[in-house]
Formats: sequence, C-alpha cells, structure tokens
Amino acid sequence: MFSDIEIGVFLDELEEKLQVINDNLLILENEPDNQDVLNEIFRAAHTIKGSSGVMGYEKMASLTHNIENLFDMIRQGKLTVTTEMINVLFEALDTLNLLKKEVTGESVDVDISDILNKISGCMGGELCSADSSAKAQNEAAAAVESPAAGSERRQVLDDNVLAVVREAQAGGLKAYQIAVTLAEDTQMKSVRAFLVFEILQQMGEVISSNPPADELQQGSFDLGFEVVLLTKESTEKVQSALMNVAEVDKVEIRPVTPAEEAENAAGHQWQILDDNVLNVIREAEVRGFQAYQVAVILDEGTQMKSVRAFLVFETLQQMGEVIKSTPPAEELQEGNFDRGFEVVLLTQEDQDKIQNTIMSIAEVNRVELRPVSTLQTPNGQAKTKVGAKTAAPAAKKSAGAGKEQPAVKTAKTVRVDVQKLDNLMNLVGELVIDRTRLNRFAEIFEDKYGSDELVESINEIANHLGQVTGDLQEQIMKARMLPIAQIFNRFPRMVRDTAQKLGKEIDFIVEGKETELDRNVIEVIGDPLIHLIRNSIDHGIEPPEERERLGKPRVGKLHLKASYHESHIVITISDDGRGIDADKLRQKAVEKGLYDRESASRLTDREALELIFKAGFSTAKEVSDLSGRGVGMDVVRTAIEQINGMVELHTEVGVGTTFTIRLPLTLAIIRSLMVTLGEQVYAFPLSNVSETLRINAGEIRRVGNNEVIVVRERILPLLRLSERFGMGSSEGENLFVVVIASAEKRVAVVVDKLLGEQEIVIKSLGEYLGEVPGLSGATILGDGRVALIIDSRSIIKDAGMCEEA
Amino acid sequence: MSSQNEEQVVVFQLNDQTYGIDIVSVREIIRMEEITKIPGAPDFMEGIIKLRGGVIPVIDLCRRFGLISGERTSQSRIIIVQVNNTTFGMIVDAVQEVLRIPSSSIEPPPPMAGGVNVSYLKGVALLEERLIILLDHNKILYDSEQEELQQLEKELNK
Repeated sequence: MFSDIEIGVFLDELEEKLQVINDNLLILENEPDNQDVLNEIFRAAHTIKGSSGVMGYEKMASLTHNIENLFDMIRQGKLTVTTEMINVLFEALDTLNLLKKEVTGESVDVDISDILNKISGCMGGELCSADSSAKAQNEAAAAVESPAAGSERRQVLDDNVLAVVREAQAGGLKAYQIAVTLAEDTQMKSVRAFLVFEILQQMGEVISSNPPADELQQGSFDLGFEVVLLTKESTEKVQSALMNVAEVDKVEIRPVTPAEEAENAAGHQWQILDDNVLNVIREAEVRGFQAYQVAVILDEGTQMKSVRAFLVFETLQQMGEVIKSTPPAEELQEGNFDRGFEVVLLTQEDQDKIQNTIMSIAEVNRVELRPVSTLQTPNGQAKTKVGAKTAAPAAKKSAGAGKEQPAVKTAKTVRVDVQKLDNLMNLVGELVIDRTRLNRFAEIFEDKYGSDELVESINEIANHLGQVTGDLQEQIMKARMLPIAQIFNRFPRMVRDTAQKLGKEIDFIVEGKETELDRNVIEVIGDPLIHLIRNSIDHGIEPPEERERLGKPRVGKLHLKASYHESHIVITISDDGRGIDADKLRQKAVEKGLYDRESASRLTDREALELIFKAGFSTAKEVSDLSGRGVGMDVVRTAIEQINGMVELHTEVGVGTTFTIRLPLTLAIIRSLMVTLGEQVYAFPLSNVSETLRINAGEIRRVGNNEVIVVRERILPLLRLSERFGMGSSEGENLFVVVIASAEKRVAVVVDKLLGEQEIVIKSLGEYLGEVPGLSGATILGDGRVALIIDSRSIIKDAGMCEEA
Repeated sequence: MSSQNEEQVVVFQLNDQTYGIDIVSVREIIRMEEITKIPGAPDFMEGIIKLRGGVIPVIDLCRRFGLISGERTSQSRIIIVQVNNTTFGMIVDAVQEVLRIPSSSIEPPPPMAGGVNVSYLKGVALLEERLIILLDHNKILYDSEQEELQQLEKELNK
C-alpha cells in the first residue's frame, strides 16, 4: 500500500523521534519538572502516533498513544515522574524499537500488551479516581487529534455555495458555517453525524457539507465535519441544539458573509492572529522586522507534502523567522494537511522576494502574502470577536507551534545506495588517471613544439581538470561519511542502564558527536566502544560508597570524546575510576601461566598493560553478566586493527583510565608505502609499517632454517617477499627491508626497491579471486598500472608460524 | 522474432580455431594491456587489470582450456565478459567479427572439439564452410575441481 520510499521516510522520522524520546527521557530522569522536556517527548510520541496510524502500524500507534496520554498527565501535573516510570518508559522505547524492526521485517509479532499494562499501571490510579482528568485528557487528545475541526481549518467556501448564501441572505436567512467535533471515542460516528444533520435540517437548510453527506453517513470521517446552514435561528440556538446531541464534543459556528468569503475564495482565507502572536509581531516591529502572513498552496496531488512543507519552512527560515504555522509545524511535517498551509513570517525581505523565492520551490502552486501590522487591528474586529470563543485553545496551540520551529530542523537528506557512491568513486579514479595521461601529453607537446599558446592551454586544462577531479573525489568521500552520533547516541541509555544495574552513579559526558567518519568504520566501531564503556563502568568506576571513602566525588565521570587528528579520528573513553594496576596484571599473568615469576617481573608497566588485550585475560574479581569474562579486550583490539586502527591505554592507579582509539577517516583510502618487486608494484599500508632499513646481505643470520636480522638488539624474522609470492626479483648485495608490525609482532620483509609513500584507493580483488593469502586488495596507480596491497597481518601470522616451528 | 531463431556471437580466434561467445555476455573488447600478476593464483589466471576504476581478473583462455598459450601479438585482445555479476577478461588471439548464427545450424558439441573439454561448449555451428565453436560463458570461470581432476588424470595416463 505504501511505497518503499514512503516507508523509508517514515522509518527515518521514526528513528529520529525515538532518539528524541530517548535523549529527553535521560534528561527527564534528572529534571523531572522540566516542561520543555515533557513537551518534547509528548510531541515526539504524538508524531509517531500520527504517522504510524496513517501507515497502519496499529500496535505502534496504540503504544505511542498511551505514552502520549501518560505524558499529558505529567504535563498537567496529575502525575509525577518516578524512576520506576522512567524505567517503564525506557522499556516502552525498547518495544517501539522492536516494533520498528517489525516494520523492516527484522522481527515479528512483537507483543505490546505487557508494556501497555505497565504504562497504564503508571497512570492507573489516576484514571480510575479522577473522571475529570480522563475527560480533560480526552479533550486534549481531541483538540490535538482533530485539527480539521479546529477553528483554524475552516473550509473556504466555493462560488456555488456563496451564490446560494447570497440569495438566501437576500431572502432574510442567515448563513452559518458550522464545525462539529465529536468526542474522541465516539462509536458509530455515522449515526451521530446523521443526528446532527437531522437537527440542522429542522432548523433550516444544509447547503454544503465537508466531507460530503454520503461520506458522513458511511462514517468515513475523522472526528469533525463542517456544514453550511441556512437558517433563521441565532447562533446560540443552533449551538445549544447541537451540543445536546450525545458525544458531540465541540461546535463552532461562524456567520458567513459572502462579500468576505468571495474575497477569501479568490484569495486566501487568512488566519486570525491571536494575542500571543501579535505580541511577538509587535516586538519584532520594534526591531525593524515586517510581519507577513504567508499562505502556501501546493499543487494538487503533490507527493510527499511533508517534504515540500519542510522545504518551504527551510526557505522561510533563511529569510527570517517563522513564528506561527497553521496547521502546526509538526502536523506539516507529518503531511497532515490538505494542500495549503499558512505561516507568520518575521523578515526584513520585501514581499516580492519572499513570494518569488517560495514560488521557486517545486510543486508550490500558489503563494499569497499579506503584510501584518499591529498598528491597524488585524483582520477585522468582527471576525476576531466571533472567533473569540474558539480563540483560546488556538492560542495555546499556536504558542506551542511557535516554539516548535527549531524542531523542524531535520537534516535535509536523500538516501543513496553506497554501491552508487562506490561506482562514482571508481569513475573519479578513472578521471584521475586520464588527468595524469593528459599531463604527460602536455609535456610531450611542450618538448615537441616548445611552450607556445596551445601547449599553455593544454597545461591549463590539465591543471583545472586535476583540481576538479580532486574536489570531486573529496566530495564523494565526504558523502560516504556519517556523523559518529549514529553510534554515540546509543550510549547514554546504555550507560544509564548499566550503571543502574551495578549500583554506580555516573556522569556521562559525550563530546564530538558531529565528527564524521566513513560508514564502514562506523559499522565496525560500535561493538568495541560498547565493550570499552561497559568495562569502564564495571571495572573502572568504583561504587559510590567506595568513592566517598577514597575522597572522590560520589558520582563517577565517564567521558567519551571524538575528534579529528590529522587524517585520523581519535576516540577517547576516560573514566576517573580506580585505574589498572600493572602489578596485578603481572601477578595474573603468572597465575595464568603466561609468564614465569621472573620474566613477569621484568615486564615494563607498558608491556604488562598490554596483557589486557590478550585473549582469556581478565582481572575482574568476579565475572558479572556485563564484563569480566576475559573475552573482549582482545576482540576489541582485533576489530579495531581490522580497520587499520589502533587502541592504546593510559592508566594511573586510583586516578582513572583512558582508552585512546585512532581510526582512519575512511577505509577506502589508506596511506601506503609503495615498493617494487620484479616488475610489479606493491603497497604496504603505513599503519603496519614500523620502519624501513637498508641492509647488507652479510647482515642476515640464520636461526635454524630461518633467516633473521638483528635490529637494535631485537631479532626479527626475515621474509623474502619474492619467495613468499614466488615472483622474480632483483635482489643484490644491498637489500631493502620493510619492517611490518602488528600487535607487538614484527617481521622484516625484503623487497627490491622502495618507491615512497602514497595515498591509495583500495579496490577489492573481486569475488572470483576471493581472498588471496598475503594480499588485501589492489589499487590503481597514477599511471594506470595496478598495484597489489600487502596484507601485513597475514604475512606476520605466517612468519610467526615459521618462527615457532 | 528473428532473434529467437538466431544467435549473435562474437567470433574470435584461439590457437588457430574459431570460437564464438554469446554477445549478451560480452561487455567490451579491449587491447592488451599490462597485467598485474597475482601470486599464488591458479595457472590460467593471468592477473588483474583495471577497468572503469575497478579491478577485474583476467584469464588466459588457452591455458584455461588446457591448450598451449600462444604468443601475444598486436592482434591479441581481452574480451571483457560479465557472467552473474562477475566481470572478468579473457585473452584471445584475435577478435574477428560479430555474426548472426541461425539456431538451426547449431549442433551439440562432438565429444571432443579442438582439444577443448566439451563442458565449456554450448555447441558447434557450421556456417558457410566455417566451423565455429560456441562457448558456454557460464562455465568458463566456474566449472569444478572435477574438471581439473580429469585433466590431471589424462596427463597421468599419457
């Protein structure tokens, strides 16, 4: 029923809103009275309810509906926030996440009855004891849910109706536009609508209805409908007659004056601005801003109205400030509007410019502007008076809408298959090679014809092409980047839960969420980070009592930070906990039989600390279900090294521990040391190269069957790449050696010649070749040749095996 | 309609024999270029080349078929073939033309055609006195170890 694109948009929005709820719940736990936070959560839940309802995800709609209700009660002060409630809410959030997975097909048959019970448990007492609160709640819900019935959304009457109205008025009848809103849980809406019609028909003649009468009879309308009535009765009479119908929640009546309507039909039915908005406008006028009411009508059949509305908002925000929107911004975001919407804009731009700018947005059909001035009373007093009855809820709403504007700041994005970006990247690579070739031709021409004008031009073109391709390459690289917030955002909740479970108090500080890195890196780095953070909470930070005894602040600090450092991302996780004791590690190493007592005592602190990265090594006094099972730190290191990263730790006993992770910005490009072997070029990723040496064949010694060299009193196994790969080589008396390292192991590799460092783009060898031992991929050199990339880790592993053998 | 009754094939020369491959699987035909050898790869695997910014494997079709690999000449070409999302190149001695071959003139391969094991073959076409051996592009890359084993067996029996 819904296209993948629509579901995609829905999921994006859902994810964003769930994150909003998550973040705000965390704040709420510390500031239970923060109204802004309550409102944020309420609105997010409401948005999810709306869109999931539209998409037909009943369970999600029902759950968010309950969350919304709960928050409404909190907002009204009928409930107070408790830790227990927060726990239930987090659980509800988890369930929502599961439901989200149900949408994507990752999980099935999520049961929400349990969590619904818990939520109603939170508000249970209230619901039974206070009828009034339930009613208030209903009213609030109705007000939010049926904007169509609100005074703001009056139908513009068409010419036919107006003609009839005019005639009737000539005949001494009055014409009313009547909006009827039914109570939220009305059963048999069609019957109610029918009753309303009956009553109206008794008093006069219904000449128009929206939705049309037959739809009303089928009950296919939301909660409100609107009719135009010709009658002799007064508004009060009509009103009270209708309010007598059971389950009619609200009736709004407005006399129709054809003259005014005609103007509106031709133009736009302008909103009546309430006092709050007028106050804001007045202030802005003092600051030299002009206020406009801007009505935007989209093309009929516009796809993704919400996106258009968002674009219009964006555009308007660039020109000034949007202080009110009808329907409210969040409704617009959900696409819950017909074709048009209206905003109040404070700006210093002139009318034409605003009009033209908005018209330039695709699928905007019509834009109308009207300057608003507080000096002349806006919009005709008469109207305001009539509307007075309904103005109050509207005012409340619009005040909310005004505040909501910043929330509209969703990132403007398109979703692109990574494969497409990769293809683009490949094509750019091609361009780079052609550019190099062009340069060479320019040189040839210069040699042949001297530097005349034509040659100059070629050079110029080649240079420009070079710049553009360089930029292009960079931009595409950037397009693959995502802010690390993607994973960082998961952590506050996790820290909270873990800390709660372990009875620790933790102040978790996150910095540098906006730091961007390659999505592949992001995918890999999540689990290691979770592990390190859990470790810090579990082993690092002491329980509050112990901290107090030690004279530390009761609340432990956990600091997660990401930042750029040259062409790397550095992520640090530091705690102010008990630190890691190198002596304990030495002791442990002896216990585990990894070292004898003597050699263990000879380990430097640094080497001892390295032990934690060994498999099966845990110093936790007891194993918890969170950490301490000794599988972990080695996995962390492996995962990080797999993506050419590094992990280090600094620790001071009693003061704290800091883990530092260095990651490449991207996995697609690496700095490499280029070498030749025979005719071919090979690349050693620099992250594994520790040094290069030039040795004499005489320096090679033999240990058993293996060749070794001694570098600064350290014996390194020597490996001849030509032998390893079975390739020809031109080794002479002087040998070039690349020392590669991985996890403290070093191997010296003999190559023919060193060419220098270069940034290379990694290409996979392709499915067919699969994994070739010793190689991790290929790259295309500037001259179009293909070079192979050495997989240092597998080479070291192989060499290690020889060594042991 | 006519396409159902005939096949379009790229006709090329290999070891003095004429072969054809379904044009649908051919992406392009390029001149010989420098090929980077892959250490430890099978014998028929000539190496890798760059193509459209990516790298693809190139096989020596002669050696793949267990024939003696000829000299590389100025006529030598690499036919880039795409089969089930795998793109690879195959070195041939010369590419001649694109032919439409009526399906009626295609016959199942004889038990042994030109020294090439029949499992690579789709059929043989006789066209105006020319014998064209049609390759089954699906089987050029992936057959089975069985194939190699058979080859080995044969050599042992010699």
